[in-house]
Amino acid sequence: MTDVSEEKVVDVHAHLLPRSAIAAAESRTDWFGSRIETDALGRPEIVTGDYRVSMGGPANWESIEERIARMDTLGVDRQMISLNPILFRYYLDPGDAIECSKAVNDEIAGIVADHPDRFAGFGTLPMQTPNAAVEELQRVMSTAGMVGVSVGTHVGGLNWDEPELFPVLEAAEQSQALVFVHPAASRLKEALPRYHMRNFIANPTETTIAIGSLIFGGVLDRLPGLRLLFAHGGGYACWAYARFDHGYQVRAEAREHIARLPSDYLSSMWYDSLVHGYGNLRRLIDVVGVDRVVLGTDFPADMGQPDPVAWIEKSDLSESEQRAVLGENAEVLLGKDPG
Amino acid sequence: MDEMRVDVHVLSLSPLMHWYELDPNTGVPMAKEANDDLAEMVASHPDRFAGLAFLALQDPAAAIEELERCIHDLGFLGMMVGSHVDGLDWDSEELFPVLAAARDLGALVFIHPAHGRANAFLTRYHLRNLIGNPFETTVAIASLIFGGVLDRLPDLDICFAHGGGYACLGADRLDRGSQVRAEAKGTSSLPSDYLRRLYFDTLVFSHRGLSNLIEVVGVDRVVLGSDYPADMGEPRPVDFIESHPDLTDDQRRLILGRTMERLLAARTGTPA
Repeated sequence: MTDVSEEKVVDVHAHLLPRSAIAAAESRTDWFGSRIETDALGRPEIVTGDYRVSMGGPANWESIEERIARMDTLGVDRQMISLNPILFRYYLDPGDAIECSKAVNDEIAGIVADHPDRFAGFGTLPMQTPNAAVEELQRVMSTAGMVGVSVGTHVGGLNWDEPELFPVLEAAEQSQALVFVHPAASRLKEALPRYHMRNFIANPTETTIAIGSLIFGGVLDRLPGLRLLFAHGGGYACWAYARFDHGYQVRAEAREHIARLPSDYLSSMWYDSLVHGYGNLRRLIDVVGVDRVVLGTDFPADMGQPDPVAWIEKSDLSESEQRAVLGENAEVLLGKDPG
Repeated sequence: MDEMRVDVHVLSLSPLMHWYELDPNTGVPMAKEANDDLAEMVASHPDRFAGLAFLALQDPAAAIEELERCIHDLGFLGMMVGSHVDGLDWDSEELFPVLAAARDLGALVFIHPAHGRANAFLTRYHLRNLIGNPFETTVAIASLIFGGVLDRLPDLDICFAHGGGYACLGADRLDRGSQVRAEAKGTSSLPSDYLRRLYFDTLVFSHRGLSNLIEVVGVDRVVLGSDYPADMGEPRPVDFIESHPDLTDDQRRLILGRTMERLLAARTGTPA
């Protein structure tokens, strides 16, 4: 019998508040169009014009050494780190967004270079200028330790089936970049001002829209080698698929670009395990397959999973399923043989 | 209905005609006319139809009056309302008196999505229906929970279309949120606990989806729904339940009619 805890544990969903943003907070200067303040609970608060949004915990301020100490406590061997999506700058002038992406990506690459056994990196892209995004993606993928890019579930209101975004996904396929799709700047937040529903409901809905757009738009057919990873277990997709399939059968506009059932595509993508309940973890695995689910915690957010390894180990997953989710599947994504 | 082996349709106005944005001077008479039409249809075949009132919720006081008329004079079972009312969610104080009146009148509340607020960016592939509708229903359920409406009206019977949208999958995230976010605290139970007090139709399009729904809310909370005569409906609703491999005969009977008969009987005073 293999002890699950001896396997490498990889967290694919862990965010970074860049040191440049922390420095901007300390010197009270703008960070690419936003002020970084501290809210009443000690969390970083991003102030953009009149809009204020807090990150999900004070640990965002911590140094890389403190982060590694937390990872040790949690039993996480490696984080795949990505820029906190609140800081995606898709609305800036392209020049500023390019400068921001390069700075963030250099910082992430530096963290990975300093601790190659503890981190892998996702780059961020200036998506509002797809040509520059392709260039930056190629630069990221030529950097040691960088495994892909993190992107929003939409780009300034454009869904991922938009032709102008396609070259970025095409470049990702060509360079074997893992594309981590994470909700940000939800278009539903105005309709959901109360009870933090702009997070609880708008985020999984945005992710479901991204998955629906990629499937129905035929993007996955055109890019069969594209590797996509979705935050929060893919939002509602593993529950929504049956309505997708029925729509495909009865509505011509749902068959415009694809020639098979929408649900057929789900098991060609990856999903993190951040579903907050064992029933949902089992349902996700039932729909997409255990080889498609990878540990994700949303570190260090309050809406994350605070004790991920214990959470998986106490689930009804078999030992082999636990190993797959905790690290083996992610090792495949990192391009290594498990074990 | 005979061909589909359905004995009774609980009828409601198409949600596409929930025109809450109309001026009350037009909207209130429109509701009366729609309800009178529906009452005529129910009266023509009282053993085959039951009615759910349409209400001009843009005028809550008039809506309450019309609901009283529909329950007392027209013999309706309850009311069918949108998942939001021209942008107002169901935790709004303006709408609370309507729900309180429904509780007082013993009216069943059926909540159905329409006029999705995500339509503007769901322009293709029918996503405004495929995703926009379950999204709206999820918002309605969460608003009723977090807004304390279900705490204030524990006896109100509410049924949700399309198996409650994404709520039964999304409930674990609501639970997590209620534990860590101050703005989502204040309910007397965990958000997911409320789901077992609500009713959901079976329009989930897969046996796996139906099993998941039953697992989360309990088989006594799931009632047959077909969305007749929509293309996004279930063309063979009875077959869909009968062919489910994991349901017992008792469970099938509950879903196909018994639970709804119990809800009907409680309102008409006739034995189920």
